[in-house]
Amino acid sequence: MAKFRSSSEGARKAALTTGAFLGVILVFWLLMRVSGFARFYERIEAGVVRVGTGVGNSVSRVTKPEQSLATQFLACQESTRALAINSSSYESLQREVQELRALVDYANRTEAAGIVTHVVARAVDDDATRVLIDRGTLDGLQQGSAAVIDDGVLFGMVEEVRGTTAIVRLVANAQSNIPAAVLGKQRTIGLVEGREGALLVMEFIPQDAELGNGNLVVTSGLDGLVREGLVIGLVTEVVSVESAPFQQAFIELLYEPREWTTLLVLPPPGL
Amino acid sequence: MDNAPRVATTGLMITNALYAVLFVFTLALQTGAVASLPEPYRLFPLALVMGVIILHERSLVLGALWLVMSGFILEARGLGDGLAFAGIVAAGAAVTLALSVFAKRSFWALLGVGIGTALTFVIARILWLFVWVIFTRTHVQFGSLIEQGVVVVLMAILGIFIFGAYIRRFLRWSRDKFVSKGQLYDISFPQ
Repeated sequence: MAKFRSSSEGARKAALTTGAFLGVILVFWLLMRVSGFARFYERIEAGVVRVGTGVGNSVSRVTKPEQSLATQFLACQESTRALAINSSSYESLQREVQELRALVDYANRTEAAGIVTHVVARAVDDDATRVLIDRGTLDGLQQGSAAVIDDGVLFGMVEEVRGTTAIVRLVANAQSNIPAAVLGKQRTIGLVEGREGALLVMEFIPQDAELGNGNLVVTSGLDGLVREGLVIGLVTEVVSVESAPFQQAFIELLYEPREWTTLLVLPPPGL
Repeated sequence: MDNAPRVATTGLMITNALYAVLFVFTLALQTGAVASLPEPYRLFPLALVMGVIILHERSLVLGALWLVMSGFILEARGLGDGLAFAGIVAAGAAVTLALSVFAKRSFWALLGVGIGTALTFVIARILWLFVWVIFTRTHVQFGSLIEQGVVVVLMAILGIFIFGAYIRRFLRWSRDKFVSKGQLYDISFPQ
């Protein structure tokens, strides 16, 4: 069997190792309580995220197999077919388009009240549906606020707020429940929940509701936390079983969460 | 002559403090750069691989601390569930493997410790989430979790194959350069 070094000398070294290592981490943790240092460190982290995202996007472009282009083409064909079917109801949809345009304008107007944040870290678990942002209670961030990207596309909800940081739970997170509406002939209300990967499911859609592929899904604002009209995604499949009390719709996100590093956090409506 | 132990102590503390700085930097890389890569690259367990290499090449205590603290800090920051528990179990497994199964300081022993630790980490995390799901009634896709766990183990193997030799060489060079040979190994390494 193996022999070991003298225990007293070994114990001294182990204590020194533990003390020095944990001491530095403790000092770092204490420094992170100081907002000036925390901001400085978060700026570095945001830089690391930006570099990683840039490298990731390049890797995605290089490693994307040609087969996926064919898949994308087929998806586009399917989408075109769905649009062709929907064109018959163009007149009635026009009203919804106007409504949507008004909602987008509304989202644009709210930018002034929103807080621009940067992603400083991403979750390392299996679904990667949480990000850490560089704004917190010191910046007036509130739990339950909506984080949006692009031109009013819902990215996630602020789940937990700390001094200088906050955790945003992405829409695709399995614990995510967002009251939503499908813009179609009629405004259909349901509840969007996260599922495996980037797929979302809209539950509790009444059986008599008419919806189809390509319909736009937006937040309904019924929970009072998320503003109305933030874009969630497009309906890709509707599951309707006659015996079931509700229909179910699969929704595809319009973006790849990994590719976004800057978010706009909108406070709950009425604040 | 009297100053020798004090110099060794100071050197040891400075070196370990520098490892702590490297630890913070590694976590920032893991959650910032690596997590921003597309699948499957984002699953590369950088902190775990570094922890295993340090445990095997530098110090059992430091490596075990690295594995435990990485899981604990990532979970405390809200960047994953069950990581603290998995980190503790993985650290225990890594120490046991490095002491009694892969006791040689060869590259293949490092690979063995790496595979064993990564496997233990993944299994411990799945078990934790299994219990967590029962109590919190949340939705977890265990199929995808197992699938991604396999990817994590494969990535760890790949990481040790690609970076292991370089990091080993760097650690040995820095040890021989700044501290006398063998001085930094702590109690637990068999002689």
